[in-house]
Amino acid sequence: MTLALLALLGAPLQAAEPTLPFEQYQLDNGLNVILHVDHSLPQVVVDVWYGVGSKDEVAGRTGFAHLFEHLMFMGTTRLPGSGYDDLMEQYGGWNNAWTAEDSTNYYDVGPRELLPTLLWMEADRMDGLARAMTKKKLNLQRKVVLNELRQSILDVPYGSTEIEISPAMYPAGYPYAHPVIGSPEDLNAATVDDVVGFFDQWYVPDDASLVVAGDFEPDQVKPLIQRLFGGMASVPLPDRPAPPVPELPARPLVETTDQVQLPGTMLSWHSPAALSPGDAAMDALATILGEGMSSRMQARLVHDEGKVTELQVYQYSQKLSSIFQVFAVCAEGVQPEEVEAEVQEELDAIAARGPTEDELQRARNAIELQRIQELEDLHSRAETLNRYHFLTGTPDYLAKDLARYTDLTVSDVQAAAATLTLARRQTLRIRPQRAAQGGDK
Amino acid sequence: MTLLLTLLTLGCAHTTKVPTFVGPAGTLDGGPTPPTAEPPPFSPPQAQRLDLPGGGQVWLIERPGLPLVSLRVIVPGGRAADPAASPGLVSMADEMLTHGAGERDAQAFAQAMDALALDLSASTDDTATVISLDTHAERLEPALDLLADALLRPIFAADELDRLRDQRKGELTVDQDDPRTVAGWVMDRVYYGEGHPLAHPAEGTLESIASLQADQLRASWEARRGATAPVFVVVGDVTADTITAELEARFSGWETAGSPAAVPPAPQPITQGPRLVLVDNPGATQTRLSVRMPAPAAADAQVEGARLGAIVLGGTFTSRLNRLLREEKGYTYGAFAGLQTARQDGVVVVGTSVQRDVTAPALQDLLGELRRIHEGLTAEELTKARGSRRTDLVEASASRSSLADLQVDLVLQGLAPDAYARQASEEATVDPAAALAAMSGSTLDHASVVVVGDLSVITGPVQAAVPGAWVVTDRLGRPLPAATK
Repeated sequence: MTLALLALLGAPLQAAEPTLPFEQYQLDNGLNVILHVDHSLPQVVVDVWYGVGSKDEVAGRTGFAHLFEHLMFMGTTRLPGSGYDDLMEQYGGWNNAWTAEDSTNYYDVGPRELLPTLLWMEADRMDGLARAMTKKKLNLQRKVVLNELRQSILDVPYGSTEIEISPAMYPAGYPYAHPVIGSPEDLNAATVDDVVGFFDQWYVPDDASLVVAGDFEPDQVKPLIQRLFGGMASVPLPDRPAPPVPELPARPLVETTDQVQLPGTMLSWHSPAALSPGDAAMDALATILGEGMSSRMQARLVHDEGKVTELQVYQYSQKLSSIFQVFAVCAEGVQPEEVEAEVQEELDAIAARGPTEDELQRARNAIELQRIQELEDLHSRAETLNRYHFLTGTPDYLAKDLARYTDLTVSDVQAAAATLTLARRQTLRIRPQRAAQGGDK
Repeated sequence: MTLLLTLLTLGCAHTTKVPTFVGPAGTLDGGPTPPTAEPPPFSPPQAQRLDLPGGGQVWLIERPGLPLVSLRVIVPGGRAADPAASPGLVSMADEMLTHGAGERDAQAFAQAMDALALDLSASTDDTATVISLDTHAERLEPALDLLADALLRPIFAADELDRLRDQRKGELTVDQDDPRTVAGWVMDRVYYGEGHPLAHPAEGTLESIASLQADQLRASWEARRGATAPVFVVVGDVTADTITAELEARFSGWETAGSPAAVPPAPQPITQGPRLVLVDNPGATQTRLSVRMPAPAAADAQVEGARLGAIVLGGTFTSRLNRLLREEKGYTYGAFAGLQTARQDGVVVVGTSVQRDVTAPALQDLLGELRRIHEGLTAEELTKARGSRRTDLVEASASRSSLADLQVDLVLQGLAPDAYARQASEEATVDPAAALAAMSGSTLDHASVVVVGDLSVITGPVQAAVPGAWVVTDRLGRPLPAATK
């Protein structure tokens, strides 16, 4: 470490802590409501978070939570057909949604004048989506989801890892043991009765959290929320006992192929759950190893040795348990085994000696900057409030979240690295199906 | 990693038929609560233009609130400045800027950037290089020191070039397996025509990057940087006095000589089109369909009509293309269209990935919509397109980096800081007839169509469904002997 570099690192920043103000309350039926006012731009975001994801799917219906998400846009008896999108876009709004292992999130964005309409539409489908469900709608979205599988996974280089990793990491029956996208066989087996049952069980006020963010007046919006959402019945959620946190991968070594020319490898370990002790240390470790060209693995594998073309290191944080992953595409002529050995050497080195204070401070700087940048976007803020509420029971978590990183010590990161051993590792190798093309010569 | 995002930000040809409701207003049974009022027009904050005493210009938007600063530097040239024999030269030179500069070799420079948590990188656009710096406001000064080193004192070390070349070789090899990337490469060559300055990939090819030399890179960068005084775009938690002083202190030595890079010519118009191209992607479960058509340039009086027309075609979830191909036919996960404008020309780009076995009917439907738009659009469709454009601009005004990028777009297109306000007022006056007139040049007669898929399955059905002079090319758009397929 040069003196010049030490000077650059400097002391921790003294800027005022970023804040994320909100007001929270609950309707009598259990719906959680979070209001976040920001008059800086003439826009609003409505973000509805349901605590159901692929982890809640039953055997033979993998992929259903995500398929159901698509069906949420297919109309109700009060607003049939494509009315959801038509009406929203008619006034400059748009929407999107995502499904993950833990939860499903729907969000609507638009001008402030559209807020009452957006709230009506979210309440309408929360109340009565299933009553308008038909086999025709189901069949159409089944086709769309299968196209999504092809486009986003099967035809993407190394996309097969998304299919392979879940059953390799988790034992059969574990809530995360199958990919979110599910299997084509299970998607094709889904029925309208499945849709109605899933809706009645999970799309209820007790399982939902509504964030309204942006340019609005709470005094005007609260009565509207009460009128639109307050009449729905409370439906107790089924018990979902947390399964034991897995320690070892279900299948330590998996070899697969993909339509690529260069081999790749994905190394995975079970790691602490989102926002639990040890989760932040894994984030910092990922940054120290793989963020920026001077990070340990980038510097060695990509820059100095040229053995890796693309490298990603990250902690994929989830509610029940997380995964720490290293993904690498090998350079031409380099075999995955060679890369895997060097990755393990780097992990073992940090486990033995820890990172330096400078490395940890760099990681803090990078993570802090990323968190501040996320606060710029209104939708990002809305989703962050819902995510905090989902994971901790309160949206009031930004300061605690940031403190997790400022409080980290090199010993914490060293301890995190010490869990990433060869014995606990899952290795997923991707061999090329295609011969090298050199095709542009 | 396994987070699955549904693609719902795509484009409607019909207004909603809302049933009659029986309940009181403001309840579910009362029907959709109507908007409180029509949203007023919106345009992003306008930059103030400041001259630096030593030469150069700053487009500044002061945005306190969060301790962030986003800065962009625009250097004309871009991939259009690649010598014909050396595709990828400009982008390789641009990438080298942050791989060793001033007193720091590549690794020391990377350590310095990472210590500051700097996002500092150069991207090679069609007609310019855009150097981006996003930083915590309290680290602005050392960040600017590194930026100045990168732009004024890059090293271009030969051994570092060798490393970057090997890395890019791997990236290009991965890109060859990505049908969307391949479709883009092929489209550039087919649409612009061989020999046009934009007919090659910005990243170059495996062959072209193999022979690049460090002194070529240095000469390319110095010629482009020295041709014009710098244009800085700055958005964030910094005042005009501070940023001008800080930039002047570091960049007053930016000497200019020579002449600015020429704007590339508009492509030779395609006549008796469309040009039809097939590219093999063995084993692919989907087929990538791409269409590019000419459109008005950035400063053209009809550009706002064309922009709204393209949104009607494919700019929102309920747009004509997405409604037909996804929501009615179930052929795809999503289909889009949009207008891209430059100083010299504009294009309407259209793209979708469809299930392999329905490639032929999907292509017929897609081309059918591109013809049908010339039969007319409705006032309702234009209202929706205006709303979509407005919301896009509101959202892009939220973050300092996206607001900076909006200003970069104006600089690249040769537009003034008040252009977004002017566009908003012009958009308000576009009626269906004006939109139709603005799109009159965007026809299949002048278009290129690229189909990337498993040719062993799709060739026969595609050629039967869309008769014409189909050409099979490699992944860079170079024709292959017809006998291969």
